[in-house]
Amino acid sequence: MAVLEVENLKTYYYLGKESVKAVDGVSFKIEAKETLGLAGESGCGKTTTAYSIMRLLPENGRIVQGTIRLGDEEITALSEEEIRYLRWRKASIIFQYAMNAFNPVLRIGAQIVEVIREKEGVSKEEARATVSDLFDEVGLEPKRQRDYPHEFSGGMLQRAIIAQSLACDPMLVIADEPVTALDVIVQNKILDLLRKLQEKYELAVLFITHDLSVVAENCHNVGIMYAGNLVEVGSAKAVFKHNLHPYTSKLIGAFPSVIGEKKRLQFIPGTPPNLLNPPAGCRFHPRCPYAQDICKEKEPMYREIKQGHYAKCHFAGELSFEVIE
Amino acid sequence: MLIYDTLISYDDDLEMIPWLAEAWTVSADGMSVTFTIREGATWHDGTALTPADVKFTFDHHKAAPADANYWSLLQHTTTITVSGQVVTVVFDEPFTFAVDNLGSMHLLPKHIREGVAADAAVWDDATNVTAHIGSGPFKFVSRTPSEFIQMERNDDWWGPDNPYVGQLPNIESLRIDVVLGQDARILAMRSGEADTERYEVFGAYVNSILNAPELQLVTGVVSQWDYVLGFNTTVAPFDDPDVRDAIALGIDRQELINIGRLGFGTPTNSCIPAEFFPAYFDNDGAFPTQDIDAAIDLLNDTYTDGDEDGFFDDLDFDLWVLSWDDISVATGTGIKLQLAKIGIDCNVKVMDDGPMYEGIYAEPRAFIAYEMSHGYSAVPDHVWWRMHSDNIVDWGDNCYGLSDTAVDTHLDDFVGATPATIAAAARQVQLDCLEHKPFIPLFLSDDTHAMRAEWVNFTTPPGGPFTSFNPRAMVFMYDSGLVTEPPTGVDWVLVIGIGAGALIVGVIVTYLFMKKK
Amino acid sequence: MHILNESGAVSARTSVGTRRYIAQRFVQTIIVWFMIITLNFIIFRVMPGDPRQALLGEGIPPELRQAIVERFGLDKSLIEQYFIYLVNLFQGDMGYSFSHFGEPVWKTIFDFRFANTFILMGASMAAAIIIGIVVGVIAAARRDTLIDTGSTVTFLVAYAMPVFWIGLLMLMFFGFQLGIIPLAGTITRGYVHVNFLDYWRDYLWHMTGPWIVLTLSFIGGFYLIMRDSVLDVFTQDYILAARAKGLKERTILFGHAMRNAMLPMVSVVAVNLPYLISGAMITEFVFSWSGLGLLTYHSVLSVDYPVLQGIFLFLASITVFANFLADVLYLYLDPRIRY
Repeated sequence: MAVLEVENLKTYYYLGKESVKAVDGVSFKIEAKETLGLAGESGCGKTTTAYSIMRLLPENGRIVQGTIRLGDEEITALSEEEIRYLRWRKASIIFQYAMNAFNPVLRIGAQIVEVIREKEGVSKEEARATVSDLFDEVGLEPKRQRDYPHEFSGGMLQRAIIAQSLACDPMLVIADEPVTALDVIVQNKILDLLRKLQEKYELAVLFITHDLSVVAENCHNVGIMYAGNLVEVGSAKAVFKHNLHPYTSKLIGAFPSVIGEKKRLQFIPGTPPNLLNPPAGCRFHPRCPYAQDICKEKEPMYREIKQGHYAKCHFAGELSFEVIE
Repeated sequence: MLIYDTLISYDDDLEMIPWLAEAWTVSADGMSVTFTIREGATWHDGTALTPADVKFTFDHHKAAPADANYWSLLQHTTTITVSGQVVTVVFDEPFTFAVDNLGSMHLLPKHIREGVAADAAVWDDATNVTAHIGSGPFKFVSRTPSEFIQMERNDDWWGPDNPYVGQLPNIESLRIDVVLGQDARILAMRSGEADTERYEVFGAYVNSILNAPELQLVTGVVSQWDYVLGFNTTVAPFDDPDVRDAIALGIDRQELINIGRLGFGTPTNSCIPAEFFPAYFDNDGAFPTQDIDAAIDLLNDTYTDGDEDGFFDDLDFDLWVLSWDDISVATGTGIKLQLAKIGIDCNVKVMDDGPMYEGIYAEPRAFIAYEMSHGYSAVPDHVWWRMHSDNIVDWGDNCYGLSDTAVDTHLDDFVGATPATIAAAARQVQLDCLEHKPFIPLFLSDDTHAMRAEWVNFTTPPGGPFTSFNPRAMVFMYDSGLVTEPPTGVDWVLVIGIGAGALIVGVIVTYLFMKKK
Repeated sequence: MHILNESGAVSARTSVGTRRYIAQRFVQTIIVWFMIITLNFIIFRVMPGDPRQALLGEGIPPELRQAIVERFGLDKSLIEQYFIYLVNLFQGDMGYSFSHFGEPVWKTIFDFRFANTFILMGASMAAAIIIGIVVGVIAAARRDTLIDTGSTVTFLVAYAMPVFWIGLLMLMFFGFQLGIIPLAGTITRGYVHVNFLDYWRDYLWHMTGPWIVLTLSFIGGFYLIMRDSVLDVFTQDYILAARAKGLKERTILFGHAMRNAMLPMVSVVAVNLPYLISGAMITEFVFSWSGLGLLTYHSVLSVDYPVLQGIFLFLASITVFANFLADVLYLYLDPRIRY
């Protein structure tokens, strides 16, 4: 059974009477020990998807349709108190800016102890012991749990944040741009750590990033989001090598490759649509070089083109892109 | 006058009456005075009060400058002797008011005070009853600084033996509380916590008292506060005596009382007003009553209205009034209105006391004219302080800048008069003031204070106009048994109603405002 | 501020820096304090008119005048006078009050008036701070609900109403009409207290009126600052993180949001601290509460310069040292600040 199963999720933000369709019909699932990389430009709905799963939306955000199944719980209909109970037990988050995700005036250890005690109901000493183990696990000296956040470096904070995310033995870890703020060397160390821990604890990981190279290296499956839609999902290899959606192709083309010959980077003309009033039909059609009349009128179906490889394009599988080597 | 006795006191007409001294004399040359001390008086601790105590008091004040007036007077004594019950004080020059001054000293017990410095901490020790032993009608019981003083009746007092008193106080226990704020005082009296207040009620509060069923407004007695209009006679336009004369003619005193004191005042027309100093007043020194035509005629001789604005040119001036005294401020407005009728443009300038006193009493005099009150004591030597040119401007008086050798001589004669010459000297001083008009007497504000209604039918032995600073009248009040109705509550319903209304409006307005936002 | 590298140097260096910072601030504070002492000396000597006049007042007999002139060395040069002033000051001699039977100024200030003001202001400020903080946090958490709007409006109205007017209403309604609070003073006049407890019961009962009035007038400021501060903290990532961790709302509010939101409050409280000493003149007047506010009022009216000088000096000293303490306190409240 899948750890996380999202079915036709629609999350809108309301500005007065108007709604911003930040996530508009997204479906995917993640199995245990599997990593799904969710990639796309800023503002495409990656983070809203993640926050929908944790039910952490701001006051004006609402899940208007769809189901989110976390283990055996359907969470969209749960009360605030019920979802509060589930948070960190079933799913936890690794935040992007670890410096800001820790309360600056509380000791790091105390912040992890606090959640363990809340969720497990154990004594302070037991919780401290757990934190020591976790610190050990992520490569931090256990005695540093008495430090304040500002006394840690960025990499150490990211390790601490990972330790915190594992504190209550969750099934799913949502990693929201976990390494974006770090330099490349530290990035790799952290990513290695994440992979190792995922193996060990059989975690499902939802890995959110705008950095496709990170996705390529770390994720089993990849989902590409554009303007609130999941436009393509498939195994990393399939998506990178045999992408079906023009946007995916453009997005990959927009990224530099360190290895291989130098070539001119592609860029995607136009800007992402205004989600207050998205274009009719396929949302990508104003920027799509292959757009036909049908693309302007009819919204494409999200369909399985090949085994485990889905796309949301009228011409998925029919187009051939200039594939990067 | 409560805990300590004095040698003499005053009746309703401000004539001296025997108090602890049964009699007194002044020699024909005015150089020596005697006091015959009552026999059988005792201190609160039972010790007999003797003439030696009186002599001790004089010596004490001569040595310790606790009071500048007493001290400077006593520096002129040559001998103070006791013979039987008679204390004789001899001066090196005559002092008209020697008896008044000596007679108003609080008598101190020699057996307690002797040998202890006048500024020793013990005299200020609130818990030390012995330090506060006197011989007056009330005994000191306790004092909590800034809170209250508790006293009880001295049943051994000599009052019943004195024909001018003839009884003990009717009140057996007396407490003086510190209640600041006129509102709180009125509430304290209405609730029965206090019976009366010794603080003059100003302006708007007169009506609160008249409207309170439990309270009675006591008035009709002149207070010590004399409002005057003073000129700086050294600068234009008041260096011209005609202008001062014209203004004196332009003033209607009763109208000023109505404006400035809501009618609770007594007009004064002399620098030694009859209403306060009947013994020294002389009608020849009385200021004229209002005559607008005469005032304008006088000014027309010298001044013109060149710009035809209805006011004489060069006669506009700033009139300083005292900011915290609403009587002074309102009266200033009255003066402005009255002077406009004689063509003088008077600009009322409300001053805080600091700069005002600085401008009036310190060199160089910055003021042109002022209107405020001066306080009177039993002794009218204020005329010397105000008009004598020897009295330099230095937190003293003579702020008017009058410098006239003839007037100086008359003033010296007045304060150094003998019993035979005093009447003529007082007359001459009043004539001088009328002639030079360095200031114009306006009115005495009447003593207005509140008292619980049941106390109002009080009897009092001779008390006189000093009620505002002499609580004696209150001491002798007796309870007539009158019971007042409980408060009707009209007053507070209005106040609370307005308050609640304002609150509700505020809440609604704020809510709407926030909702809109 | 140091950001340590991953190898994590231990904070021995920082604590030395902290100690040096405190020492520096202390020296600064002392310098400022000396400047105030000097200013205090100058102000009362450059006032218009003869400084002796200002210091001596009127109606003081020549002998006493001479004694005071000699005591303060007013016939000497300014430099000598300044030196004498300093010596007198450090011996606790601030001169003699003109209007309180010539008692020493320190006695006029500290005998009982300081205690009265300190107790009253301390109690009302403590209540205002606690209520302001708690309600401010709750209102921020329940933003735009009835609780938020209701408390904002209530406290703003209380804040905006003139203190003397609330005071008079209290006297009128609770004091006179209902008779449940006293009309004046700190104790029942003429009542002999049976023991210490009885005295305190009486004292606290007399304090209710001014206490309520002052608390009402203070809450508004603290409440608004706390509410805004918490709302600001709510936009921070660590609050989102705390919510994501599924902590109880109470824990998030009081464990995470409040602690951070308290930081601006420390400054505000430090700024307000001198009120503890200066007192609320108007409230003290309305309730005849004999404290330093009232003393200032009477001293101004009676031109009692030595007392005013003493109060001014005391207040300025408290302000300077309270700010120093606030800075030190900041070091402990906010672990990020290290020098």
